[in-house]
Amino acid sequence: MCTQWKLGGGILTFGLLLTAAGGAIAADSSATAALHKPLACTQSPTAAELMQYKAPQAKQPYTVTLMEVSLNGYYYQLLAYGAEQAAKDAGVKLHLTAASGYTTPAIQLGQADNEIQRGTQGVVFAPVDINGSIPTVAKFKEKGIPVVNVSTEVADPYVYTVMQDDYTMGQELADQIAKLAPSGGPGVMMAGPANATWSAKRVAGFQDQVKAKYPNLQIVATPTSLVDPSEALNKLQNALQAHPNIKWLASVDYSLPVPQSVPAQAKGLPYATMGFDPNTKAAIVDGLLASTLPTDAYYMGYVGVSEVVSLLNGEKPTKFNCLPFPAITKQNVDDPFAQRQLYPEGYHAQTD
Amino acid sequence: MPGEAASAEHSRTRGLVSRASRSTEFRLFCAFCLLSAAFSILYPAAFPTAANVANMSRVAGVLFVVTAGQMCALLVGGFDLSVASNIGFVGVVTALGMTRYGGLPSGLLMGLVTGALIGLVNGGLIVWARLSPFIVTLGMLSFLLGLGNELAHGAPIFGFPKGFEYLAVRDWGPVPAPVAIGGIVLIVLWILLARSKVGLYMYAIGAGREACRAAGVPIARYEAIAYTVCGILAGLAGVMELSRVSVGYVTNGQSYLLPSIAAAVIGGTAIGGGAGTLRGVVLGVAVLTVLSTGMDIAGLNEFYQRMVTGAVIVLSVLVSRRSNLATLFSRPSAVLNSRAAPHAHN
Repeated sequence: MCTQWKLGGGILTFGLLLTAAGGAIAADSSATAALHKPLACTQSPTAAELMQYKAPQAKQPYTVTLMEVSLNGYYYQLLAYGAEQAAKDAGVKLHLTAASGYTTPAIQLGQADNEIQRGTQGVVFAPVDINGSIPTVAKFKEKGIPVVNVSTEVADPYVYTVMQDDYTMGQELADQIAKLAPSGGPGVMMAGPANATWSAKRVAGFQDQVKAKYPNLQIVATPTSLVDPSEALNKLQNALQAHPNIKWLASVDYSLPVPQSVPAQAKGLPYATMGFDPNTKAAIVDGLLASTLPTDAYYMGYVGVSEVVSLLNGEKPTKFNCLPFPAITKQNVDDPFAQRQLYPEGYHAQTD
Repeated sequence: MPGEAASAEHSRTRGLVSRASRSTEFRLFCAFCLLSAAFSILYPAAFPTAANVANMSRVAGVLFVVTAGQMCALLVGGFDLSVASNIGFVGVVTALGMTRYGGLPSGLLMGLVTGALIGLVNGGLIVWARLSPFIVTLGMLSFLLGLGNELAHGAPIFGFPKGFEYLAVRDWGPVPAPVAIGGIVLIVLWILLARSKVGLYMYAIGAGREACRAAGVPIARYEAIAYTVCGILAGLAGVMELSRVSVGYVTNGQSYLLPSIAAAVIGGTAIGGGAGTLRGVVLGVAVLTVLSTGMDIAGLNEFYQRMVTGAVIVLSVLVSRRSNLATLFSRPSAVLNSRAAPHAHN
């Protein structure tokens, strides 16, 4: 029994030492230089230009595939919706497949084989992992099938790219907070999963911009969370306990936390986030959320299919499109560009 | 003789203390006190505050409800990997019920019935189709995630009726709602487990399935009941979580799976069945909640948090298995003489 107490005591001591050293360990030890760089965009259309953009007419009724990470969530459904609209406008047939989330490169590899068998002529590809999805791209490259990469990067120069620049979005989020909290002060930046590149880049952009331009803003905590509104709420509550006098709140995703669930002690503080869905719109209208940067999932799908059609037509579209993200606030929440961040009620993407 | 009486009294007291200190719950209580004291000393302005205690109690209330359900599955020798998906799915069903099919009462009813059905289907497949709990509940986890997204069309559901906030956000008098609901669950489950035939058979099935079969216990029926109770409680946690978050997302509550098993096991519920107490579950929930809250307040990197939590889970089980530990560090002759630790129940 004595041994058990020693062991138990040892574990607790280890845990407490680790926790007491939390400040040092919590420092961004896993950050790499790559996280702190914007994308090498060759074109960055404005929102107005994007609104005018129309898919090119296909010279033949090509078969195009949209390979998504998942269909679980508003962002993925909207991406599919945008792709379907482009396919209609361009006169091509669209297949839709989806993996089971960001840890499943093997599923996408299998789906690539299936789509090649089905005779796909071009692919709009949302990879599950920047390196893990390279073999999938290689399969298409082997068959000369053009690939347009959307949503998350894949480290292969073969692809054309249409996506948002997470680092620059992080910088813009800092600009938003500076506008919303001009007196500055301490605040909390809610991050996504600790090993998610999209989240890490947004946080890196935010931190770098604050350091460079807004010395009156202090980021007192950057808790990470799965994309789970419940966990995010717990993390925020605990961060507020440690830092009760914050003056602003920022987050890399509109569900981290859901604006309606922000605890009472932080309600009323300026809150800026990224992403848009019907609930985010309601939160902006109700004044629970000050601004959000859209992630343009519709245009990723639309421009993605359009670029595939251009490539199949024998044209050379832009290699690296970075999509715009003008802040959506109460003043412009009903504007056409904001409406493009939503799909019609009742729409439901189906794989085939 | 007075000296002999005092000596006998002293021996009795030492015996009591010695027996108490060997119990899992006593050790857990010590761990809870030690952790709370340590975090209070390290972070005096943030941890030992009324607001933090209220926050922790809300989180612990929901965790207790889902863990109590998991305990029932563990008692009969199984487990339920679908509880987290159950939470999110029931949240979606409840949200749809409240916003489209009749308001608060119908939404709540739909949610709780759905949770029960999920548990019943799990139980049915495990006992009558004789599939392993791992396969059934893993399949259910995936199925519910897909079905939930199908029902919600990937979109959030919001705009709940007034009054719904009393299931998690508001207080019931001086008590946070999740604590009050957790208290009701504790009482009802105690009656079920300690004062009814259902509980008796659930423990018996986990402790000795073959003996129960020989005694004519309807194993399938009570095992199915255990999984149904697990499903109902996970569903109830889903309703509570929906109230906390205020928007129906199928991903609500995804982080509850590991803690629900961990808290039960830390609290002394045996994997393999037949042993476990509600006291232990309460203490397991309390320890995990204090640990995770303290680490968050400390700003500890998420990776290290998971390492600490994992180490605490594994070593808690190791420490609570007295005979295993003794044999690990004993000479061979001691192994032959070691006895199994006695099972505990409510």
